[in-house]
Amino acid sequence: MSGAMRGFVAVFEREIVERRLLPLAALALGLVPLAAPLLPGLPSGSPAEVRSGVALGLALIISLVLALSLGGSVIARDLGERRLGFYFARPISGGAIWAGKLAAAAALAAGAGALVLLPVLLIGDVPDPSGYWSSFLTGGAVLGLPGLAIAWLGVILLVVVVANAAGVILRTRSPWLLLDLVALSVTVAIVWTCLEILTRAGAGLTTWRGVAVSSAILRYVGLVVYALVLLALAAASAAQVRRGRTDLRRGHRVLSIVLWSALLPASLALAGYTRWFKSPSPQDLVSIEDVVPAPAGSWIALYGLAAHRGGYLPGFLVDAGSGRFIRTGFGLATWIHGQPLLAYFSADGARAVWLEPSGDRTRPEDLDLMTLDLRRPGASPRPVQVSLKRSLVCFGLSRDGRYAAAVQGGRLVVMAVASGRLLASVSLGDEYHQQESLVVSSSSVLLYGLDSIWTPQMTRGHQVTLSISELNLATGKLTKAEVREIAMGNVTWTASPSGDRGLLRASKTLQLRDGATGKLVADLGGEGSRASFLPDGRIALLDRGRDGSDLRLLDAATGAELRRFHFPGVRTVLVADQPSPNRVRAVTRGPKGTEPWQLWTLDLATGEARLGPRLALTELPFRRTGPWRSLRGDGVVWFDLWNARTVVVLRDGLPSA
Amino acid sequence: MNPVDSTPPVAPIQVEGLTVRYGARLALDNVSFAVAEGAVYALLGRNGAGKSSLVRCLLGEQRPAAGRVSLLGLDVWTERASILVNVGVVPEDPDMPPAMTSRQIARFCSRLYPSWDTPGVEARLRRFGVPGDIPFGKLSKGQKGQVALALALASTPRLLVLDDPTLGLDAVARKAVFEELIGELADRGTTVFITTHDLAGAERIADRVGVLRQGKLVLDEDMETLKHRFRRLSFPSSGKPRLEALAPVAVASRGWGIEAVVANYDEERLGVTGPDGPEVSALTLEEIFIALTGEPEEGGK
Repeated sequence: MSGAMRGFVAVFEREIVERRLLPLAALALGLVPLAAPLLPGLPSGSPAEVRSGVALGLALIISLVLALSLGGSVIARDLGERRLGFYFARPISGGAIWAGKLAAAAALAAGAGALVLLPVLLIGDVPDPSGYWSSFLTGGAVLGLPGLAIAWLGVILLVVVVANAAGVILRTRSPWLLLDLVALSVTVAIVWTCLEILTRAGAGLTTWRGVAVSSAILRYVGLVVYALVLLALAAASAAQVRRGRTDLRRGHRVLSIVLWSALLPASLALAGYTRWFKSPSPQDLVSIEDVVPAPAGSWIALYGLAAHRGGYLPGFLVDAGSGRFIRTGFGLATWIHGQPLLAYFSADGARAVWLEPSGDRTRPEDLDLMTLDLRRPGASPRPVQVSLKRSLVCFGLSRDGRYAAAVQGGRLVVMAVASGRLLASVSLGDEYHQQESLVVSSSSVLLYGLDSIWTPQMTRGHQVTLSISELNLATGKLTKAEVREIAMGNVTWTASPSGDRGLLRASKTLQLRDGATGKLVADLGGEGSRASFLPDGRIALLDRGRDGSDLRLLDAATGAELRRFHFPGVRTVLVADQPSPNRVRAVTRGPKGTEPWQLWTLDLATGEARLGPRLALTELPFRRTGPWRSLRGDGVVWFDLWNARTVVVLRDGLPSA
Repeated sequence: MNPVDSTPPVAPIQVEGLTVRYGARLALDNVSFAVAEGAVYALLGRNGAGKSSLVRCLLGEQRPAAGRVSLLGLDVWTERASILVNVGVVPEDPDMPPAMTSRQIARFCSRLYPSWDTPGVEARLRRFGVPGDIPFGKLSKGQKGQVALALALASTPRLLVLDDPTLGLDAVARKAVFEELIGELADRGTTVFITTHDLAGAERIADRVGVLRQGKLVLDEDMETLKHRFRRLSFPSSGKPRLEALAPVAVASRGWGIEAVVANYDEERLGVTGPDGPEVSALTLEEIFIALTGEPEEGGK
């Protein structure tokens, strides 16, 4: 055995022997839980559960109290009472003195806890702590007895070194105490703020919508913070004994210098990491969860999973043409009613409005309304004096971007975006719908509710109910309409920009309905037909045939066909935008799905389809299909998970022919 | 022809330029000295002179602001643990764990040293009359010191460092400590460094003496030379004697004449001898100490 090990063992043993009554007392205390089922006031349960629960609680308390008291005295008291010289006058290294004493303190604390548990373990009452707390506290892991033992040993070690440092610092009462307090305050403030930021950003998530996120960053950050604090405290107290030796004041000085020169830079590094964590660019997204394009222009709102950041899902407003982006607070943090609430755009694409979590910590349940002028270069997001609750059910913005409406707390509220002034607030009663959407204008608000019910007795399909509530802003009167339909599969409702029409889509049907009454206007197609409203209200319908694809332009009033464009040999046709009332831009791709994208400009007045250049489109990653190198190009294309279709956004000024 | 090793033997204690500060206060000011193998070095000084600081530095418990201390040829700050295997220590205020008995302390220490004389410890404790099964905290101050000495000697050390081992002891206990030390020296020739206020005891065993005054080492000399150098001169007449060449350290006018203590006595330099000359007498270590430091030691007679 080396000299250092001999010294360590001698000191360790001496500390244990000096406190040899402690284990006996712990064993005696372990008999108390055996009588616990007879004691009044304890939680009900089987006698075995009560015994094991009380024993576990007592064991944890005893361990913690001993870790605190022994850690705080085992070195500091010897120093304060000038008794450490006994060891330093012997051939024992400072490191062996430090390690022997602290290891004995930790062993006594942990051993006493184990001895308190021993009697109930001997009679077969094995505590099962996994049900005592939510998995949220343990980072998703169910903590059984072995896990608890490891975690508890970690806690004991930390408490011992913290108590030891505090014991030394408090006994000296030197001016260095002031420095310690300042450094402690700064470090705790930095670490607390960083952890709070990371927590709010979702760094603790391990899975997201079925996608396994490989690294739960917050758990790793927590472990790193724990390890750093433990190591810094251990190194500092070891240095205090090895270099301060029997001089308490010098020891305190050494301890403070080592401790804070480790923890302050580490906390600054954590702050740097947190800043990096919170500053991703769109290119850092490895998968995109949702995208909303502006009706005009090349801005899109998107959010997705950022690389190397656990479950962090940042949101962005991105100009798909220039690559310019604005980091926003929408995305995961603004999920409502099971769906993400991203940005809303005015019809001209000049303004974006969105909700994001309040920066005010006293209002954690509030979402603040933000707005951004997209046409002004360098403009930054501006908060509007409107706050909504996270219990919000749905949100809508008028085409001119001046009015917003929301359903929350059983009421439909309408407000002016610029001033935040409340224009209307009406009760909706107990109405609740599986899907809700709003169409807002300066005169009225349309609230659509869609419910789909299925029972085994329904052989023809789901019973779908479309509820339409219209609020007249001038009179404040709310009128309601409701239609029922039988449909197969997943059903969605898309209202036209003005709300006068809507598309009811099911797996085998596509119907054009009246936006105010819900009555059927026309059947537009069957399985495989896809349709969407153009910004001017007309309908673009895509049919795929054997020899290619047809893009049909329909009159929204009647469903009658206005134009038909045939693309032979083309599998995919995507309507991009409508730069002018009679001009629509579309992109196509061949049957393999790997050919270059081709731009078309369609003249709705003449029916002419002009072939444009081939396009370099950035394909946005979906479910970890990234990385995507750059946004710069002719535009972006992505698969819209919510509507099960591919969407394209092109930059302005592309040559049309 | 065998090569001759011309390297001088390493002094068991070598102190070079030792300086210790407590804030603005200078506790030790550039102190240097060495203790030869087998020598007994007595470091004297009034309370607050810096003796305890020096001992802490000597044992590697305190890092000096400047200077270096070597024990047995090794730097004591960096090699403390390995050096102390060969060093026995008696602290000024024995600081053993109060709950442990002398026997338990001895058992603890026995594991730390390669050679440990358990029967020797038992025998010494018996000789001192210290019970081995009473907690250290319940022993008298004298008994605590005796336990410390017994433990210090048990590892058969090459070097003994004793920080005022007789402080607070009665005359009988003081005598026992010094007799034990003399026995140890006679048996093994151990090098001893001792700080003490018991100047008579130190005079019995010390080969060399150092005196600390306000942190400075004002004297570092062999006991024989020191005692030969210092003399008390009693001049019966009241005329002013010429003493400059003898380095007078104290001159006092008495009723019967002049009394002087000189630090550099030399018959030839004195010039006057015989019936006309002064009465010359030797000084005890305590008298020399008083002459050097100006006031009597608290522990002295």
